[in-house]
Amino acid sequence: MPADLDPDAALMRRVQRGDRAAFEELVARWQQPVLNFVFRTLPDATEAEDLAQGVFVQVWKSAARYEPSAKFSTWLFTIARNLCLNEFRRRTRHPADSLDAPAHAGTDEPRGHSVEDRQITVAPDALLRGELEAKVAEAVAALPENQRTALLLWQRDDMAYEEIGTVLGCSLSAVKSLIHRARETLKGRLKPYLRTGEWQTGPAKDEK
Amino acid sequence: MNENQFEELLALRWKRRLNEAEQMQVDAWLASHPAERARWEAEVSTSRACHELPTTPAPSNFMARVWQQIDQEERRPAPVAARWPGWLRWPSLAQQFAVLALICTLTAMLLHQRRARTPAQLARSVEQVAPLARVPDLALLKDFEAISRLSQPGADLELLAAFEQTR
Repeated sequence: MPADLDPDAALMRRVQRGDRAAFEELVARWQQPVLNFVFRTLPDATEAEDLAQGVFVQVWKSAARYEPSAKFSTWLFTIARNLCLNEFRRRTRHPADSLDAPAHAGTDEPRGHSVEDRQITVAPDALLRGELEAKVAEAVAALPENQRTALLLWQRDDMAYEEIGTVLGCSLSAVKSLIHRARETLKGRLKPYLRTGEWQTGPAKDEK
Repeated sequence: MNENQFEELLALRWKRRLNEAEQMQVDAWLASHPAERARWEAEVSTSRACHELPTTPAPSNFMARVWQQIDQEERRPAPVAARWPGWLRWPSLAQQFAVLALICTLTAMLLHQRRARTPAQLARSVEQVAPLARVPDLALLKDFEAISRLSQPGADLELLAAFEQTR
């Protein structure tokens, strides 16, 4: 979709002028896709929520740097990917960080959240139904970062090869290669678990 | 349909369900290439499994927490370094090392230039010094006694006598 027809680009232009309602509309529209992407990268619900929130904080802070000629989703997932990479680097440098440490230096605010969640949360373990789903999640998480990012973005309806290339900073042919390698790796790892029709517990979610 | 188009449809199957025309193309291809059927079914199964992975739902207070974090960061004072213009800030370690390397290089170059004199420069130096440091007669230099007395101050009568003898 050309950027000038992108409704999100129009909302971002309003956000650049400080329009909080426009920002809330963007967050409402993109919070779940961003959270899904981050959750596949950091398979921990709490950390994924924290990082997904960080993505939108960065969107607000960096609004002035958004170029309306670029598609908003491309810019958004570039931020999400970069924050995930920063988190990996941080974990490499500080592998023993406590989960009870304050979220922000200089404050006494606990890592827990002061704003109450009225919705009942489902424990992460309950989300992975069955050994097969766990194996799939494990296989996806085990992919090299660039292959996983390329495949997760490719699975989205609204991202073409060129846009994925912009997020990853590589060429169209490199994107195709990454997606191909990711698919082949997943098929290889899941081969012992794949049977025709075995995954169907009902109508497939991707049925359209 | 050719193999490249089949590969494109394989990749597309990961993104969405194929439309009727695309599915007919795949069916026709698989009918003439039965060995590809197992590969097609593996792709479909794997892509469906990935699509059906459960996700964590966004909490109801997601937006509130985003605003909370934004407000906290906006209330935080700017770092000291950020208050100063870029050119006044203490240079990074890499910049310091680069300056040190430059100073060492320039110093080495200057020292080398001082030591490296052309033959012409050397000859001119010798010419300037020569009148001030006369070398005694070669015949005199053969005599150890005479040489050992060369550095003694004042007239040395014994030396003068030695000169007389060597003539």
